[in-house]
Amino acid sequence: MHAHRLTLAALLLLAPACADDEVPGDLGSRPEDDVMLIDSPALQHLAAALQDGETLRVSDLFFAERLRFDAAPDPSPLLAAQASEHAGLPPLAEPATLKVLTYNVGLLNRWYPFTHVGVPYYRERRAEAPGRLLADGWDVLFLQEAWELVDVERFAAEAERQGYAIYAGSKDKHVQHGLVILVREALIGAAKQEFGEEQFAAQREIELFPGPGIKRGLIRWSFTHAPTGRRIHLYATHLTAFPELWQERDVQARVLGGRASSHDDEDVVLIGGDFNAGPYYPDDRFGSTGEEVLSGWWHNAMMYPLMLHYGGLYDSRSALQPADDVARMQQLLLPFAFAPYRDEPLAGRCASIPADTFTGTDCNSLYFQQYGATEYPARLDYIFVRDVARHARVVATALEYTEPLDFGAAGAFELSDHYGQSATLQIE
Amino acid sequence: MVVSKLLLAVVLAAPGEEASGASPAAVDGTEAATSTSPTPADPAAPGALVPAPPATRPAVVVSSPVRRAKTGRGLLIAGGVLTGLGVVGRIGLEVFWSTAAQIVPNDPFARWSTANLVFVTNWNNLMFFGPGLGLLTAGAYRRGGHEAGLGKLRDARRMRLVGIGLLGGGLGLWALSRALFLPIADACPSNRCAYTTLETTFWVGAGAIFAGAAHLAYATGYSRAAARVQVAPSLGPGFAGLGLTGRF
Repeated sequence: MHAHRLTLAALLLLAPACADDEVPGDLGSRPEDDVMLIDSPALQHLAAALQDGETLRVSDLFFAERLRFDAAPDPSPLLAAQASEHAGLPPLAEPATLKVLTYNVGLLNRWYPFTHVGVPYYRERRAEAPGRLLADGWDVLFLQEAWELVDVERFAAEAERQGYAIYAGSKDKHVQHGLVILVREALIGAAKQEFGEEQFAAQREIELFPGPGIKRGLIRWSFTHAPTGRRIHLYATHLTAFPELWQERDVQARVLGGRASSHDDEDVVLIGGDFNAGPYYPDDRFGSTGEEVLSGWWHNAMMYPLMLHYGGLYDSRSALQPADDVARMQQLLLPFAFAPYRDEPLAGRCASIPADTFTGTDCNSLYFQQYGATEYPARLDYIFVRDVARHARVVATALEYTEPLDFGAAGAFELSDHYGQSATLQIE
Repeated sequence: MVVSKLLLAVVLAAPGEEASGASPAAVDGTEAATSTSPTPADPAAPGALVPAPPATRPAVVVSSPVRRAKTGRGLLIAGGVLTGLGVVGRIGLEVFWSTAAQIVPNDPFARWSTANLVFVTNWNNLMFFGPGLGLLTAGAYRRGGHEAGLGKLRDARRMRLVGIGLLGGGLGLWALSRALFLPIADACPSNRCAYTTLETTFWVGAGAIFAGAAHLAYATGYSRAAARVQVAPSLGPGFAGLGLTGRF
């Protein structure tokens, strides 16, 4: 079941020569690099969990040898602070609503030497996804893992029918990053639109070749919101997977945060994507293929605060009330034991853990088929907001597409191996 | 140096006679000294002082009884085994593409897979087909020479022409289909079309290359050996033998 994953993981780990740019080449060149952890609202909880954390700077987080976690980094204060800060904002006078969805559609079906990597029921799900997603009233959709051009064409055809504009980057690079942004055409003002596409320098090139042709990156779409005249910058991204590759992921988060913070403070920046790491992991050891239990999860808790720190962002999911990452993680059967997690999704606790937080979880049948018992469930998909001048408000968030659908003879299963994350915003 | 054709009459004689009565010939064609004549080099000879320097030794032709004729058989077997492994590998690859890889037959060809296609197909080519082709070619060359020595009649000129035609055509097809694969795949409406084109041109090209190389090598080996020596029975009043004609 995990053969493709193990093969790719082995390739990734056995090729240190390809592990380029784990430390950013320009580290130290930005003011955010030199901030003490204890002085950053987003990173204080890391300082509390690290040995000598009070002496560490943000730049130290990119050096594995400087990081010794004594305890799980607990983001509870950070999650609560975002909610309280947002609650303190005055209401907007005449806002327009913007319904945003980020969704890893899991349309992955690729081969590389001796291996196939894919999400089950690719053909059935790809036929269903465009029509269903674009009929659900979203104004902005950030999609990940729409890898193939033929699937982009399906989304484009449906977008034309439903009144959406679509951007998926260039043909050559799209098949490497798999990202798509769709915007309801009626919301796009007359002002010039800008598009951008970038691939991260920090990643294991072996994932591109001889792997399944993947090179992580971001796409950007800037437009003027017709109802309000507000300039909005959209970023879709999909950071490197695999818990072992936290360093690449953190460097990518630094790059993405930098791009987000480069815009005018009067503009609104929305970043939607699959970031492949959660804000909180209670135990450092979790997940197994039946042999050794995987460790090192606490390092993965750094991506989330680094995004907030470098981008000047907040997490839409934590704007109305603190996200429930800590509470949901504490509902897991811990410490990890392989057999219960192998035998039943989340060791039989799916019914008691509300589907309101984890976007990647064994409770999703497609996820369980691929990763069952090998990884923590976690909130992997986010909509981050940069809104320095406070022109936006979050009015609702939810997980989407959590229920299995009837695919006829193929059976009943979810639309993707991830759940979608939505945010309903008001913008002035 | 090309020597004009010589005709040597080899008297058919019994092995025993050859051992006892034949007078060994020196390499320069003159009659060699016999071992029964004492020489200063013979330590057993009366008055011998020291072994003579090698240059003063009489040149004696010694034919090794264990030396094997170069029939090319070993090379052909080794080449056949490697080529067989290549065939199995390629078929295995095709089975992988049509099953485990889960390629959607009706989807357009995905360009992202080109690097992996190049990698896996050339890996098999370099590991098996290339060495197999080399060994088979060398084996065919030796086989041609060997069979020429046995007096088998072949139309080497025709074989050479056929070989050149097949090899040139096969290499041309292979190179052209690879060089133009992306435009061809783009023009194809589906993966089925692209992979069928890839594999059809591979098998046709490889078949032509192997057959052409074998023909050409055999014919070349045959022609060269035939030019070196020709064996023909020779009968006359009072003698019978084989006529050897060639370059010496």
